[in-house]
Amino acid sequence: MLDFISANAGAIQMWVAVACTLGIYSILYKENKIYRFFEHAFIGLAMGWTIRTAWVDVLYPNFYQRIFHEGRWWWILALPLGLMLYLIYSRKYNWMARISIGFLLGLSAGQTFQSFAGLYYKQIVTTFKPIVPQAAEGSMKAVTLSGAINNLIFLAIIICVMTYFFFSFEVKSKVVQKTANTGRWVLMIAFGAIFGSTIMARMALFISRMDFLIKQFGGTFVPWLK
Amino acid sequence: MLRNMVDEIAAWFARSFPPQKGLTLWLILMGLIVAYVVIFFGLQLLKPRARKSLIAVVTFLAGLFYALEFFLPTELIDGKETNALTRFLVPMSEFAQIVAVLALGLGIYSLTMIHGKTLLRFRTGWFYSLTFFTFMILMATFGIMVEEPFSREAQINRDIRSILFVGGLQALEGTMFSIIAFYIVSAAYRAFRVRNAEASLLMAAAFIVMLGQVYAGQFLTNWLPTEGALSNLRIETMSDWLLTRINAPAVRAVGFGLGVGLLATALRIWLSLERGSYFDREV
Amino acid sequence: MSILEKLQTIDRRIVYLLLFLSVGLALIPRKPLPVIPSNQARSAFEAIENAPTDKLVIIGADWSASTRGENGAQTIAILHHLMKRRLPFAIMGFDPQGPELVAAEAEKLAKRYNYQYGTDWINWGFRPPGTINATLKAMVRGFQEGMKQDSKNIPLSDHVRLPMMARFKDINDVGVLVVVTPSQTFESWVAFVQGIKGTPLVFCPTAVMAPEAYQYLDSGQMVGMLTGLKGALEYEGLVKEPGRATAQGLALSVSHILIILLIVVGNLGYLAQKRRQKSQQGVG
Repeated sequence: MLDFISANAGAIQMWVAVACTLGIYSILYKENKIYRFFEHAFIGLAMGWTIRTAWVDVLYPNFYQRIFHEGRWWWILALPLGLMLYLIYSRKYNWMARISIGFLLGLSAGQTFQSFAGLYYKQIVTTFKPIVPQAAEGSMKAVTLSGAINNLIFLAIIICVMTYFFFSFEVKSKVVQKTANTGRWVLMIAFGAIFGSTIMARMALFISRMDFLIKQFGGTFVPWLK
Repeated sequence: MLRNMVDEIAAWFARSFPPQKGLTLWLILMGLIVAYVVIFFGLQLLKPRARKSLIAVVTFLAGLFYALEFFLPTELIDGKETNALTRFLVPMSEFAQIVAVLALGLGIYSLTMIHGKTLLRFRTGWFYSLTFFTFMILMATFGIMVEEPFSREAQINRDIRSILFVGGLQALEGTMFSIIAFYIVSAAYRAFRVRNAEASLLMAAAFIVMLGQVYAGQFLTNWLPTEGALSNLRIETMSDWLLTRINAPAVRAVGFGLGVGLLATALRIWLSLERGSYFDREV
Repeated sequence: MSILEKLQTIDRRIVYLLLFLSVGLALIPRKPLPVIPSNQARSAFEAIENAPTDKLVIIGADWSASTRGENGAQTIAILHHLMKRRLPFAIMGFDPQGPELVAAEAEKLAKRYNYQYGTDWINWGFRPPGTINATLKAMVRGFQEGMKQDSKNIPLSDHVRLPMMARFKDINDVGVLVVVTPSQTFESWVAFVQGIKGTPLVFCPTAVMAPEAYQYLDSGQMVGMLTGLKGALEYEGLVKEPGRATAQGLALSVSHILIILLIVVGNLGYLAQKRRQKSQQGVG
């Protein structure tokens, strides 16, 4: 049996993938048992793969190997902190899970300073763009008229959108209200652009599966489909 | 100064607690486990106020490490910017990896409990729970199994893993997410209406971007020159302009707000000032 | 209800069938459509084209099979370019599937380009996503200390089996970063890796994520970007290695036209309904 599987692994893999693909697509017609079967198989496989990767790439080299092969016993101290997370399911001890959660939250909170600096400093600096046309001078690049207009638009949009999200207190100034309103319009354009891009993303995933069914699978039987 | 002190402490630790093998290792491990069990029940004796303080201290210390590591002045050693805490970056990262990877198990535990109960009590849908367990065990087993590079068993193991991973998991996951294409087409067809000026603007931007990213759209304005003022009217140029000159600053402005909010939230969490459903829960 | 108004209520299964048929049929023709590469794809190409061959390229493989349709095609196109230029590369990722998926593609291409594991390329494997910042911080300071071992559990200090690791020590030895991800992990790559030495970063997001990333091109934190399948298609054209993305170009066009037509049809029905309601109100 195992030898048969091994000898025909490529073909079995292809047929399994086809069955999985069609099984999942059957939901588009209506809810059915075949879909439910493949849905649960998917969750099982995904969990199994997560277990595999967690062990092979992290727990085995960083924990097991270090303690039991290299004798560095102090790494066992990570275990209680990790296991305490599971106390979240206990009524009596669940507060202890918050020690571990606090540890993980604290770590990421502490990294936020560098993260903020790394992400935003350069963005803040590059937001201040030249809005007057100028010739190249030293390390400064030349700014054309169209470039200056684009820079002005860039700056104006940032101000308008930031004003739109200004909720700290009621704004009565007409100028600020108009600026915020412009920000809202600009956001509509941005959302439209994001929607247009999202469509492509979703289509690409579907096309990829159809490509598998028609060209890769179909192509093995009907060569001109390849 | 501080760096030297920390280095000395680290060196003392390395001298005093060397790696162990054989029986000594096992004795130490057993001792630590016993100590932990004692601490575990000791912790349970703490009053709610002390428990809250303990959580706050752990959270603060964990955050303090990375905050200090970032803020402490550095000096160039072997061409790398180094301060007193830099040498602990690697062990800290690996320690956190172990804890975080154990956190991944929470999801597995939760699913196992739900499906385990359904299966053991033969509730409706027990067959699906059996399916879940079967595939989880198969994938984990064939994934973890040690491979000798050129043995027959290793080849069989690799083939079965490939069938499960490529034929099963990849196909299922790829298809599952591709279904969204149908829902988004159906939703756009049903809900995308020119009800007002804002919706019309949104739709116009979406159409320009959609047409600008495929050749069918680019073909519409292919007759326009690629250089000069008229080239700005080509659909792909308009789409690029929308994305880089209108969308980019709008997203950046939103990002600035998010960034400051994130920083404030991180500070509140770090200093245990955060309030809300989870943070206010009794301990 | 007039025929025009009925256009608003086409059964969803007919819409699905239209999508199936249009994409299915568009995949059959073999002749690829012409490609007009975007500025972002050109910049990405130039970054890799100009990368020094004595420096390492790190591929952040933070994607899974769910976005294979986009990220898979991008990865393959980039790998072609890296191998054509004989650039050494390391794969790592914060998605359990990512490194394995990219390594599988690299293995396939390695035979064609005569790339040796350990000498020309390496897979550092998966690390938990919850510790991405901590892991990247440790990694940039030294690969051997920060990453310890590859996905086959070979220590990076084993320079007999992994000779390339003797040449590449830390972030100073990195020529280009390539981050392929459908998620926010790219922000960590920017803040904790790119920002350290200003290493050029090529970003390969799904098209959903791309609009969020254009601002990073403006700030110079990224040098180029491949936007989803379109980006992969453009890159295949630039490296002259037409592959799956190129073959899917027509289907991408047809699906976009279909959705635009459906939105227009829905709106025609909506406008007809609105006009009727208005005239009825006028009569009333």
